[in-house]
Amino acid sequence: MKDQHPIDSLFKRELEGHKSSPSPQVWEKVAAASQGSKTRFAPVLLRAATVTLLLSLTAMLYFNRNVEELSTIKPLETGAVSGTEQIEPVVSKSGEAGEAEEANEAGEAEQQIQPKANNARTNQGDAKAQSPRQKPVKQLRKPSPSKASNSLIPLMQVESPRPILVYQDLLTLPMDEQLEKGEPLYDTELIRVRVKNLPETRGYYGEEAPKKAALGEKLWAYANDQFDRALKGERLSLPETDNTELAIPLPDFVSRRLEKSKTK
Amino acid sequence: MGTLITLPSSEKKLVKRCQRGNAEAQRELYERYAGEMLSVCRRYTASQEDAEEVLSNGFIKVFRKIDQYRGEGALGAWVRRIMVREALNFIRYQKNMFVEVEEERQAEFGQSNVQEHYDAEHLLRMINELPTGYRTVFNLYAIEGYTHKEIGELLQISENTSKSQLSKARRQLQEKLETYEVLYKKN
Repeated sequence: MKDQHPIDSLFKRELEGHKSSPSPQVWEKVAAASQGSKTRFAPVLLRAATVTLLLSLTAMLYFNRNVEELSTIKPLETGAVSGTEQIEPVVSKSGEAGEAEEANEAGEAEQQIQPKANNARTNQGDAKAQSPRQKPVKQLRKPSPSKASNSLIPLMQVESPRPILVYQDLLTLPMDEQLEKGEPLYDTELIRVRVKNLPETRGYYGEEAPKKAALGEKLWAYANDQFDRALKGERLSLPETDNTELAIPLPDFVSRRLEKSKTK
Repeated sequence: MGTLITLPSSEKKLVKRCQRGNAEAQRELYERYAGEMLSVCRRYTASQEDAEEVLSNGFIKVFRKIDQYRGEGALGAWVRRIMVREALNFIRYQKNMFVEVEEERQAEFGQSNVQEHYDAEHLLRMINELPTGYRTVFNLYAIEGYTHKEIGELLQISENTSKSQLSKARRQLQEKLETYEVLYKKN
């Protein structure tokens, strides 16, 4: 504990417990402000409810816009690529080790392992037609429909004019190993593939990909912004988004109903 | 058979009632601390009117932030912290506190220079007569117990500036005390 200066200790001792009597106007001011804050509470709640309603309407807006797109989707065909569909992969065997190039290019990876389904959808024929280096491929058997029906839940089918890159969830693509040995990559009959659209503008420079805010954080930030606007008495605004292709997957029963209505 | 013991209305209950927006409880809390807090405010401001303005604004903040009080420390200390912050905001709003920055050695005072007891109102008046910067640093350091580092962070000044202001405040107070003592002895 610091040594107190005599002047300090004198003033501390004499003034610490000292009391003065405030004028009655002080309490009147405090009481008036406290009552004012209570009356403002209800409009704030009302405004918060308005913001929530606005958010719901925005979601509905996106939802309705995507109904048209989803209603024009073709029915699932054999081999069509879908979000979580399990499909039959085509594994290429390239025997020429000398021609092996570095596998760090996405296009090369696509040529080495490309699902048959993708070929079928883009109508580009068989794997041979794409690359003269590719030799006859080993095809894994497609599962029987009865087996698949238990485990497959197609959520959404996406068509894209751009080339798509296929990633595997179950196995990491062995980029360092030579694929030309012709060893089968998969022992299991089924693999799961995930299809991602990679827009051209998605590139970045740096070691790590820039982090994007999660949808929940964006919504929270938007709600806060609107709440502040409401408190200031400014007009509310619709959320700004640069992603004009935002799609909200329809629930399964809605999808089925759309399919039914189309077949009729 | 157990006997029913009624406990006196504690600070915790008072806080809970205030958190529910009970006007009577707010009045009770105000009555309990207003006198002491006005004295605190008077130490930081130059006039009674300014002190009362700080006091009212401080209590408005107390009632608005009462939900944030977790009961971890004494309620009086929590209210006091709010009042001190409010007084500092008031001073900042009024004018720039620290115009003159000057390095100076701390003056040495003898224990014999200080009398045992003084009238608190007189001491308050002496503090009020100090320049704003001296007064603020002296209050924070000598009475509230803040360190020079904490004062520097609070007031956005360097530690040396804080020390310098404190030294000058002490010197001026010493002179005032001596004058007061002379007058006191004459009377």
